[in-house]
Amino acid sequence: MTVTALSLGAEAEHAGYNEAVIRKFTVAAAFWGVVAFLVGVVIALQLAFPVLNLGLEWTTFGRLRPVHTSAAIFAFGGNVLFATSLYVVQRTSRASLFGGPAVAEFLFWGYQLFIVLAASGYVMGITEGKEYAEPEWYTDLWLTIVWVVYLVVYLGTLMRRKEPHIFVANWFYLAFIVTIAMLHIGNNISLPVSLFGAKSYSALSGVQDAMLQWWYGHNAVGFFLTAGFLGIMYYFIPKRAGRPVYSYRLSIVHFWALIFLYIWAGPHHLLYTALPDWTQTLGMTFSIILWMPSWGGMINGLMTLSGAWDKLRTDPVLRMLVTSVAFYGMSTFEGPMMSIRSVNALSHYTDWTIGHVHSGALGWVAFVSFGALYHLVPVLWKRQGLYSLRLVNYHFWIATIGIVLYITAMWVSGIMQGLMWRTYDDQGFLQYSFIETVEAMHPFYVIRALGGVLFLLGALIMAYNLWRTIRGDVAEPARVAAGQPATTPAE
Amino acid sequence: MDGTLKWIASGVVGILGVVGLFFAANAHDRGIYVFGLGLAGFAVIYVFAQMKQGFDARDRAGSAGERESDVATAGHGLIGKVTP
Repeated sequence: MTVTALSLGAEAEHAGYNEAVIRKFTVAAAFWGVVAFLVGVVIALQLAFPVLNLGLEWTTFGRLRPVHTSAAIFAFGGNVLFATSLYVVQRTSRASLFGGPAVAEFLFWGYQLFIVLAASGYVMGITEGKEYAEPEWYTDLWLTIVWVVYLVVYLGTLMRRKEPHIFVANWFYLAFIVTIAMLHIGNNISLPVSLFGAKSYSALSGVQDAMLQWWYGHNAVGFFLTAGFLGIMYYFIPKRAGRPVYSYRLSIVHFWALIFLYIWAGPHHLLYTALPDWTQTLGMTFSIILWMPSWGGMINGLMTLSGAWDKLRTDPVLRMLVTSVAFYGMSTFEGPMMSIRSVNALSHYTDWTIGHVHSGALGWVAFVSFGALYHLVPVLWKRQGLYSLRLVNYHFWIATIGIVLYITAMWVSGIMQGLMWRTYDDQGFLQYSFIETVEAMHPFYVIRALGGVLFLLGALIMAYNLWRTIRGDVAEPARVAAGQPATTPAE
Repeated sequence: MDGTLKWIASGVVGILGVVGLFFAANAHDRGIYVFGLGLAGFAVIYVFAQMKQGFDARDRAGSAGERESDVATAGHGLIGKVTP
């Protein structure tokens, strides 16, 4: 049976679901997404044209780069995860949020405060210097409070569910919430110099500190950017396609295998360092084993469309969701390959890594998020459908071309960079100086920035489309009147 | 239960706001200063939002009560709202 977003909204009102907070997280996600991509474009242009650093300490690449990464991961991705997880847990448990609206409001505004504190700190030069864990101790403490409240709300809602079964998406979300709490606290154990000073020092030092940092760093990818977004995949793709999960059993195997294996893979970030050799091998081995659950999950996501492949022609939102799964498969193939020592010897510290990260971040994380936002907004604001599916289509193609430009430029640039670094002349001297490698990469930096501009343009089109949808406008009234399936999520 | 939690949450956040002001007042650098003021600002916005939502809910409950009263009046053969 196909029902409209309008009736889904009415059902939510009847069941007493808290959708006000999800609407706030949804708007915040779209806003922070545009901010993240905009800062990304700025710093990409700074690499190509250093004059754009403007000679100001606040606008240098070194300070804006963590603003970009944190805005993309924690502000955009985090708000999407809050919105979708709180939506999914209520719908699949048939229970309203534990703690009521007051606690939910605390979650929303508390998380936005964390984002503002982190970003303003980076611009002022306040940082712990740990990649993806840059905020200083006071911001870390604040996030810990917010995150514990998140865990309590999520678990409390699950515990008072009216459905006996816990749907698989909730397992992925719960793994994301619990593990991020563990990683965040573990990697941020530090001693402030003063209670009223921003500076702190890590409890660990040297190789132990590096090991802990990349245990955190890799699992931020594994549990924030993978497990959480797999929760989105397992709920929104079946919902949009109007088909059940291809293999529910495979989804359970996917879950347990993924969470068991991911946590060991961090040392592959420290190959050829002072880390003990056996630890490096352990990290590499577990990374390669990760191929299995990752591709099992990808196949499960793609095969969910069995019997509904025709919808890809008419529903660009579903196309976006499915393309994200294809990118998930691609980047989870590339990652383990790059963790192999001999491959890593070429790829590490080069732009290849940047290309890899962005095929995952733009292709997988952002696309699955866009799909979820396009699905959620008409339901949350009780509209018949999106303002314009044509604009979704434009967004899809513009962003896809942007990603392709970005990642191919970085692959070519990175492999060239790695090969130039390791080239010796016949007398045993390095063939190229560092600046020669930078000069060789310049055209690819420009292409990368162009790819980023296209991706940003796509996000702006999305923001416009969502805004018009929220206002209740319809660009294609004939389509909506006809009730074409692409406009309406399936129940 | 939601009403009690609203009071507890607002109280805790209010205390956090005051703590934030202490941090801002004693800050040794811009980071803690911004943090303290941010925490205080967050507390003000949060508590005022709770108060607004409380009044909104009371207004909604009031207008629902008025509608019920109108329906009851119509049931007794009187059409329309009776004004004092």
